[in-house]
Amino acid sequence: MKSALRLVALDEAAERIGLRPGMALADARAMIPAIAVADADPAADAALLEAVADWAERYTPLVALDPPDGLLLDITGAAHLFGGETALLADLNARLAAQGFFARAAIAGTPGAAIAAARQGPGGAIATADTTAMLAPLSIAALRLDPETVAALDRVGLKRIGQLLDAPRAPLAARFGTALLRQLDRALGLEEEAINPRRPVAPLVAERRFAEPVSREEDIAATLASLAAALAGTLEKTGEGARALELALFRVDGAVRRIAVGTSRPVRAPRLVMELFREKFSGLAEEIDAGFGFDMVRLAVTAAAAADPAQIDLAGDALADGDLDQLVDRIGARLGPEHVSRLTARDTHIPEKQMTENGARRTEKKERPAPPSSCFSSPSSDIDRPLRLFARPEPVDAIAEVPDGPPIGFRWRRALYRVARAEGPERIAAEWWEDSPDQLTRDYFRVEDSSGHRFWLFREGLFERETALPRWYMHGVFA
Amino acid sequence: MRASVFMAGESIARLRRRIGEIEGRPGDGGPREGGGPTLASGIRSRSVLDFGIPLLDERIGGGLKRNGLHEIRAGETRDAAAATGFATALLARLAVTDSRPILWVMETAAGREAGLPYGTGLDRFGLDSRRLVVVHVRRPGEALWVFEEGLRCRGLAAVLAEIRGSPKQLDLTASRRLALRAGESGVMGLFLRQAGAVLPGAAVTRWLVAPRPASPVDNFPAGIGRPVWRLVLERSRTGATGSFDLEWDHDTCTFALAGARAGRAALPVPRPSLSPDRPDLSPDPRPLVAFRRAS
Repeated sequence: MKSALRLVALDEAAERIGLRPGMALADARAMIPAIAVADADPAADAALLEAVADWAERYTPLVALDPPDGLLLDITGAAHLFGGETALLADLNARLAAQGFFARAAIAGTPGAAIAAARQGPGGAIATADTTAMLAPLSIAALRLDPETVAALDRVGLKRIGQLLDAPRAPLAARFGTALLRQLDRALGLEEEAINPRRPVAPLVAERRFAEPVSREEDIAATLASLAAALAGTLEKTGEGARALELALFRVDGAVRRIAVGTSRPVRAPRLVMELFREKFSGLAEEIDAGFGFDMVRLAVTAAAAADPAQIDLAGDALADGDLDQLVDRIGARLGPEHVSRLTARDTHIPEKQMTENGARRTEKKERPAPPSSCFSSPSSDIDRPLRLFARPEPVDAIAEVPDGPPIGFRWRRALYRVARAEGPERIAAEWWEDSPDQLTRDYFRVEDSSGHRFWLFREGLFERETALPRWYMHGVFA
Repeated sequence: MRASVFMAGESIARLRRRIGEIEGRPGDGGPREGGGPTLASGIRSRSVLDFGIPLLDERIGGGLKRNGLHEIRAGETRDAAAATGFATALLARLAVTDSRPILWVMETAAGREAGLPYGTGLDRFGLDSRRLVVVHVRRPGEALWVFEEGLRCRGLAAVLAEIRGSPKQLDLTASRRLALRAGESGVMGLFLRQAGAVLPGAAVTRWLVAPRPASPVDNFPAGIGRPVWRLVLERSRTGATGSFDLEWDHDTCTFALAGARAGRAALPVPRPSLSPDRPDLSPDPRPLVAFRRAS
């Protein structure tokens, strides 16, 4: 019976005619031959729940998942924005129903009580004083206990939460574990329980709701500008600037689109914020589908940092450095921050590791450190390193004297080159103290062909000591 | 200092200076607005970047216009290194008087074919790689966008953009836009084109670069010495064209005509410094009002 097809979820009509979750599909078909079934898809269900959770952020940023089919919203301090708890509940139910969901919702003083009320109880807004009375007639399974505990309690005749409330605590804890009493205390509010929001809460948020959904780009831009101005005022009071911003567009049908931008230095000027989003929008691979319009726009500062007011006030023409940071931000917003980089020197003598590209965005350190001057950096004033290095050394066919002579001629990219002059070898051994056991010693040569092209070639492996047949590579080109 | 002794000559001289400025010529050597050592503005200390070679500088009106677009072309992919070298040398000379960062925009295809800019090599070549901000773009259209944004940014000394081939976005309109941006901001635009055909453009000068055998350093004649390039001036505002073999000395950050240094002492003779208040080399006694335009 283990591999039988079973019912996972049912709609209301199916429940009414006596089908139950866990029932084998064959049994259900025997009862009602005409039932419509679809394969269960837990991944799609989870994705749908995530999407609904996204949508639910219109009520509060503190949204947690209660899998497989529940959501927890911490509406502390948010209910009055919607005209009170009852009005919020009505609004939520109406909007979910309009989207085609069947939902049960409840508001209570603790997450445990709210879940019990929504899943098994009457729903609606339950005052803290009525929590015990509401919980008492509910089944013990409403306390979010594991099935074994519920079954064990059932065997001794404890079926309702009210029976637990009347029973002495010490024997209960001794027999069924402390988890039972903890869940009970949490539901009653005797023990603190925090919900675990699925996304970090932004320190600063500004939002605007529309009675009539907006879809035109100009309207969204104007809204964004006014939200940015609202945030700028708050940021100015705290002496901070935004390092990361997120724009959330709530579509009428429940879909939420989030667009995030980052900055090199704290910004709060609405003009700069607008510019960043403009670049981001024009760089987006897929256009934002406005559908039937957006009924809420939210701009959140997801990361803030202390900002020197002078830098921000003078940003623009007067402050050249700030100007560059803004450029880096704009390019990063449009092409992706990983496309903008600065070259950083590293203390190694393996040529391709000596210079790495690091993000051009400013970190905590204002100035980049000077390149390390160690025994590795050659004191020579010669141009002994190429101007351009290939991302990967390219194999070449070279003719050279054994064991360690310079190349006489070579074939690279299907063209033959005759070496007119060569300098070398410069021997660079593998870094045995690093994790590179297979790397061979390289002999580098600077060569010039008869027409003046200058190349940096290396022979990999010492002849007869490391390899029988050393291979040649083109690593870079000189000016 | 005034060119004319006539009362009316004064206004003519002013007009000449004005035209000279538009044409990118240093004028008659008199103090000019916008040029000269106006360091307080912080925008630019000189209006041209000279080669330090009178023969060459005279041809192009004193040097490369700082607030202009200059095209550097490599005929074949294998010549891209030489073109990069010439551009880097120009940037290194620019960096002597201008401490602002430099933006290097490169198309992924260009980097794949000719290699990526290598910091250690740039340092040895005379350009401090810490001043570079490198932007990698996938498409030519994006490269042109970043190029234009960079040219608008007054916090930069110069923008070097590298594009491979002759993409269709690179038309006269795009080139004019870039030249206009460079003119407005004073940020020098260097356009490095790998294996690209000659296209109509608004660049002030256009150079075709190919490598030449390096000139040996005196104390090591058998080795590979200073890089030498054959520069073909294909187009300039003054109408002058020509071909020059130029040698780069990374120690002193100077150009020289190839062969001119031969037979010199082993230690290089220090050249005059590039101080911003230095008078122009060999000022033309009579300012030229206008030249025939180059195609």
